[in-house]
Amino acid sequence: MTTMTTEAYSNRISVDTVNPASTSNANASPKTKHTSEDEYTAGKVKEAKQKILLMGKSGSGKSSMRNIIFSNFVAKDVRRLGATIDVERSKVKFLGNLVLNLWDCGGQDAFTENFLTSQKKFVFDHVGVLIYVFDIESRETERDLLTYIQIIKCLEQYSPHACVFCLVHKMDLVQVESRDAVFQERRALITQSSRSYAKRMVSYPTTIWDQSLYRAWGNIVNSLIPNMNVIEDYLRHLAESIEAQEVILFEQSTFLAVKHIRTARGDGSPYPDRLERLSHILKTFKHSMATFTESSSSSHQFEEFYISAPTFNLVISNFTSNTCVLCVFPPGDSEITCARINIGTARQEFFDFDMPVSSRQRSPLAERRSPEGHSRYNNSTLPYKTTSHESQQSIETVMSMDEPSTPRGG
Amino acid sequence: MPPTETVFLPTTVSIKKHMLKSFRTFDIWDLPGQINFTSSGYDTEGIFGPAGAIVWVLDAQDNYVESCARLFETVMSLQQTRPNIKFAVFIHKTDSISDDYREDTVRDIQQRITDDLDDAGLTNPPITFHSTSVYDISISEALSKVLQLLIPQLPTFEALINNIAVNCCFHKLYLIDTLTKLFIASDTSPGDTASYSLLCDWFDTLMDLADLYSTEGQSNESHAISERNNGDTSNDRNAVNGSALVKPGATMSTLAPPYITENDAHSFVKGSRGIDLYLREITVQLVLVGWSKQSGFAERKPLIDYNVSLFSKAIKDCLQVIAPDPPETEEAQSSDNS
Repeated sequence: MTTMTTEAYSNRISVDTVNPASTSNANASPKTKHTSEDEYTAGKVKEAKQKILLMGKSGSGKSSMRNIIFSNFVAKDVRRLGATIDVERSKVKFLGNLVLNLWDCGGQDAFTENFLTSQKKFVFDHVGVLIYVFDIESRETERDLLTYIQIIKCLEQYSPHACVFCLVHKMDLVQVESRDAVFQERRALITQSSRSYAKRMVSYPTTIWDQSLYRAWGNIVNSLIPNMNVIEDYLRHLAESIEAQEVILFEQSTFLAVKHIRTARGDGSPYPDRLERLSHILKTFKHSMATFTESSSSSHQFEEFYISAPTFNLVISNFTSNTCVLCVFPPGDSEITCARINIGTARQEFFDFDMPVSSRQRSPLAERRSPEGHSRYNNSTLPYKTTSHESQQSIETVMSMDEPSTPRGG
Repeated sequence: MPPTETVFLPTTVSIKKHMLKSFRTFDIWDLPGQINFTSSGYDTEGIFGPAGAIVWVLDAQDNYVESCARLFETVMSLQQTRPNIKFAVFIHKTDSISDDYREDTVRDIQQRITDDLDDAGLTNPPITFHSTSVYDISISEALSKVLQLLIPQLPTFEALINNIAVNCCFHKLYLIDTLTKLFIASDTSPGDTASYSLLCDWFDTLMDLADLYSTEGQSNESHAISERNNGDTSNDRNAVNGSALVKPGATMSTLAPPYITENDAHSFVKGSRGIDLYLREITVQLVLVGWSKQSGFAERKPLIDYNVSLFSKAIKDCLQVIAPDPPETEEAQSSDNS
């Protein structure tokens, strides 16, 4: 376990080195070949910001999507939005140390012209991701593609390693039967125009009226998370401990799926699109809660949510400061208690991992996170055991995950 | 059907009969509005004979004077032959009227009808008024109230719910029907639409989640049985689930097929703003949902679970006897005042 995680950490550093977007700040580290451990403990990687450009023709729906995903707007509320002037920059805190630096670029011709000429370097330097939005209803497809090519050229010049995502938006306006064909046709055109990015470019059909938006953005954000394999390790461990069919880590305010683990027990779900559906369902629920409590809809609305049904158990629990975890596992009351204890233990370990490096070494700080919860569960683990022996062992395994974290920090 | 699509519905030209299957079956007859069924030539006995309640829908945006007059005629003629029929007037489409004006309209209609009936010598007419709209929860709330008029066990249910609400610090509790989300009974504290709306939304969320995962659980059943044959309790559980699979009722909502009485589904949300939501299935058709803002509610959940399980038993007893015997159920209830 220990060796695996160390490897994963160094892996993550190397991702950052390749990606120049991590150093958009003036005070950020110089782009040298750094030794991974030094860089890491200095905490500079933690400040890394990923610059995301959101571009596309005026009125294609860029700001609408941004507001739905990151500001918790309801789809029908976006009609109130006005046109974006110049660039609207927003910083979205995603996972603990990952700050998304989102640049919503106004799509009117005058602005685009500016971006391509005088502000070229300012805009296209250190780009991690370019998201280009195409309006499927647009009548000037050729002109849209020309603008796209120009933007791609600039991107090649300043940020050749950036990822490019194309969203073919407003798909709800196309008739259901022809949606796929229309999208494929448009995708072919976009790929042709993508020049050197053609192979890496990913495109999605989207609309703000259903979960397709969450699928596209979930994938985009996932491409930005550098330490995915570490997260995966932990989650898989947790999944095995509670004999789960499925474990999903969500970012808390956007409810985008960060990582999804499906064990052998959970094969054969009839819903391949359930991640997006979950995002959609949970976000709707969060809205209802927010309306009821008359609080902001982007704030946390629940700490724990569980369903116990005769065929399955489902627990959604706050995990780290801005993630929550959803576990689905076999039915039974003892299983649910067991799983909650295990999640509590895993939360502790994850919290250490989510913290900035400087405070990672000090474990007392980490404990502050779950003041009564952790210590109490430690003592009262035994009465909560399920009847099967496997679960009993698994609690201990999860608990032992705490140990490697302390030497790693130093 | 989403409310925005109701504009495409055609005019009703003949009597349409719908069946509402809950813990009891309700027949809903949709009568076309342009025909006066109380006039001679119609089979008034056949139409109104079996009726328990009549819902009269008034268009609040339209000129309602004529409709009020028709309602008056209907009430008068039916009162003579069948005084047991209860009337519920839905003052409908109130969503488009501004807040202050809405109150006025509702009061005006109410005044007009009671005055007319009063003049005709009917001093205490069995009429209730509800202002409704299809765009929010108000229509469900009003329909729930109508259904409650037809439930003979209602006082018992309310007594039971009140008892548990007080003893377990619930702020508001509803006993809702899983298929329609109408509430069969609630505690008698002043009802507020907001909590009903929240609990309905939550119930929808649970249904959606159950929809995603309940089938999966079933396919796993064989897995689970083969995997763990050690331990009596797990065997029992699997056996119980197996029996659920062959239970009929696949046309019911998603909760229905896998859910069984021996192993009630339940759910709980610990809100971060001091509001906790609680749900427990009573029967396939009925669930108890409620919320509380009592601090320490989550910690005391096992106790609440125990109380609710006694409550659940009392409700089931109630449903089984045709004429409920209040003293007996009260007694069953009094044991859970722990």
